[in-house]
Amino acid sequence: MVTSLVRAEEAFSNDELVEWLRRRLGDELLDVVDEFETLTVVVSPAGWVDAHRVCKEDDRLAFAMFDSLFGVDAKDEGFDVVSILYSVEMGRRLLLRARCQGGRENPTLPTVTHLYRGADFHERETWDMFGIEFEGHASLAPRILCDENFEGWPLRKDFHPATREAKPWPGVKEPAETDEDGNIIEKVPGIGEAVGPMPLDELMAEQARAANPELVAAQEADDVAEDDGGTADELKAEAEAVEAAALDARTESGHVDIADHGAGSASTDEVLAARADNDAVRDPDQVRAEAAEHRAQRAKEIAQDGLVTGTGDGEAVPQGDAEAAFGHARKPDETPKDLADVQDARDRGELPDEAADTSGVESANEPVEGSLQDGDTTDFEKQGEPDRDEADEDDT
Amino acid sequence: MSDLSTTETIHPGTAPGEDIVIEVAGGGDFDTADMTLSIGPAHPATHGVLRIILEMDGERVTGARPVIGYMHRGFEKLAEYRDYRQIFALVNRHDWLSGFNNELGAALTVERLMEMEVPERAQWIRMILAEWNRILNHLMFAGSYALELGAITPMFYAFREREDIQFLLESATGGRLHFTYNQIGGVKIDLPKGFLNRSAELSKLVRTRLEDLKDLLLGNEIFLARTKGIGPLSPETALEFGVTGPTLQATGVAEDARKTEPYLMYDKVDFDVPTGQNGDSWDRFYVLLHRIEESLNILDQCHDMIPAGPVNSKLPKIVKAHEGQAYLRTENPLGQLGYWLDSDAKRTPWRLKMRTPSFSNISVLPHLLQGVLIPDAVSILGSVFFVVGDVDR
Repeated sequence: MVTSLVRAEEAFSNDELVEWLRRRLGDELLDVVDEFETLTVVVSPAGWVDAHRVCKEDDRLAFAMFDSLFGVDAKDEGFDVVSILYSVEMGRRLLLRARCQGGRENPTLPTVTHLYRGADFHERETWDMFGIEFEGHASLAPRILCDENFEGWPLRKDFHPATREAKPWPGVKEPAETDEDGNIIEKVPGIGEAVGPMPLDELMAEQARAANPELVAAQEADDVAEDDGGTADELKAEAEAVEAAALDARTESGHVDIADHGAGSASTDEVLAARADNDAVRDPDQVRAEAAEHRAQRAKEIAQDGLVTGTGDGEAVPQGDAEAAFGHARKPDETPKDLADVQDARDRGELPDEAADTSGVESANEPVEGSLQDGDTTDFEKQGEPDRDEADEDDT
Repeated sequence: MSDLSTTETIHPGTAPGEDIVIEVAGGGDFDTADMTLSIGPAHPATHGVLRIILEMDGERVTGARPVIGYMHRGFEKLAEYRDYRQIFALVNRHDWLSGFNNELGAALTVERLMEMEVPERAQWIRMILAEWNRILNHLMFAGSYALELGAITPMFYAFREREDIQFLLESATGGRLHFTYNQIGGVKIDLPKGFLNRSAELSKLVRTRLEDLKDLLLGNEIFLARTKGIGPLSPETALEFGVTGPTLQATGVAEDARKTEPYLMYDKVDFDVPTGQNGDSWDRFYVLLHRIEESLNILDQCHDMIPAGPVNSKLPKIVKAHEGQAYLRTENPLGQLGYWLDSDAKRTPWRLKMRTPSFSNISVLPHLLQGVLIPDAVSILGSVFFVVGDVDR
């Protein structure tokens, strides 16, 4: 009969326990880590089974309880296996740790199932998660937790969850995003702050300005005032003056100079209009009206969606809201069609008129459909993506 | 005495005196065929989607193989992609009947690696909620185990109490199953006004109602026949397989992390660890019911001893644990829940291993089911308490 803590007085201290093990294992005992009230003894793979045998059969240790066994990724060195033993009579715990032979390619370690029958499930799980072969184990297959057709070893660090493979997260949304060496990238962008080039953000800002110049100018003036300490009204007046001057200059020049208006107001409309002008087939007024209507609608949505607030009070906005507002803007590899068209048109603007051929028809149509699709996809992603991992385990 | 084979009429239509031959093959040893029987993955006796493939020889089980993993969601991988504070939403879901205790273990482990002191009041609050959560869990199993053996009423009794307790916990945490009330360094908010009074009253109520549940079951002849001597487990085998919780205590080992390695304030309260003698189904159920009583004892002391003060600590904007490894175990309702946390001083764990009680408890099933009859197999399955989400993680 096993009784709990019945031999607690006999229990070794950490040093005594390590010394006891060292005398029996000799050179096979490689290292001792004693931190955070956790005693870990590192043994060589050759001493792995012996260590378990001593722990179980030595009466002064009496580690009768097999707690658990699992793998750890040791980067270039391969994989480690840790097993936890507990002595109910002594009230002592010991962690044994060994590095698998065979590196990352073919990690192997002898089994301890003949000593502790409970190791069976744990070794199967470790094989399932890390691909570590336990020599002498009766049957590691079929996979115990993963689907039987699953490919890969999920808990290895070079295995990334399917959601990350399919679509890299925009920016450093996930705190554990790592570089090639497995180090976590430490950059933490502020709310509304670009991680890299963010063309869609700039575009949205332009569109917001086009839709409601006064509001945006006032907002920006307030922001600047907060940053610089100047009064809001002064800056607002200044901004309005600049805006008016720009408008005057544009009107006076009498034509739309596409190349000059890349960063200016309402450039997309003008580009579209300019293209439509060159197009004999399509009615330019119709194109212009369609585009303008859509732009206004979109800009309104964007303005409501938090662009205006997002430019200002950085960290005060809760993370989730900011992501919802800017999630689609941070997708680095997805170049928005609108901007591509703008860029396209900028390039074409220097070409003679004949160059803007019938492809102009398609391009002029595209932004309307394309941007609608953009919006739809974004909404869908917003709803669907972030919570997929923590899906429905609520049922009892 | 009459000779059945020659003089008795054994079915209508046979005239008295006619010879009737009854063939008994081999003195009761019927020829049987080997057969494979698959229980689950959806079966009421399995509390989730566990599948057990039984090799049968007639009615007798000659081999059992649990097939698990239907609810595997890769908790350990997900945890490596999350901030320490985000882990709590993951950990309280795998064992959906002990959400608070799951969080508690994770919180204590992270706090140990951060070398953080938790305010005393927060520790008492954690104890109160952990014990209520334990009672919730045990009531569920007390009710459902009887249901698996064919008694429906205990389920209603158990759920009547469960509802009251869930209402109480909801008033403090806002959740009924997934509390997410723990934080690193304490709990989310202080208890609402009047909570302790309501808790003390409910404790009294549950104590009296528990007697009803015991009356219904413990003296019940059918219940005794279905559980006494069924599926005995020796303490040595149980320890070798890493079986913990009520299933281990039923074998006579008074192993309870609250007692042997006290965490929180468990060393300041007085309670017993109930044990069985034979490790059979009846002992397991008996221990389960008595654990409820002990939890109520702990609760009554907590109500008196809880001090005033802050309930959480201020955290830095970026939570990072110290570099190193720590293993910490807590007594979950179903057994020992252990977290092994390997931190590389970054914002997410390098490796967070969760050692769940149900996974180890399940691993002893092939051993326990060897040679039992089919109805006893159901009795054993229900009494080796496990939640499949806790097995698959």
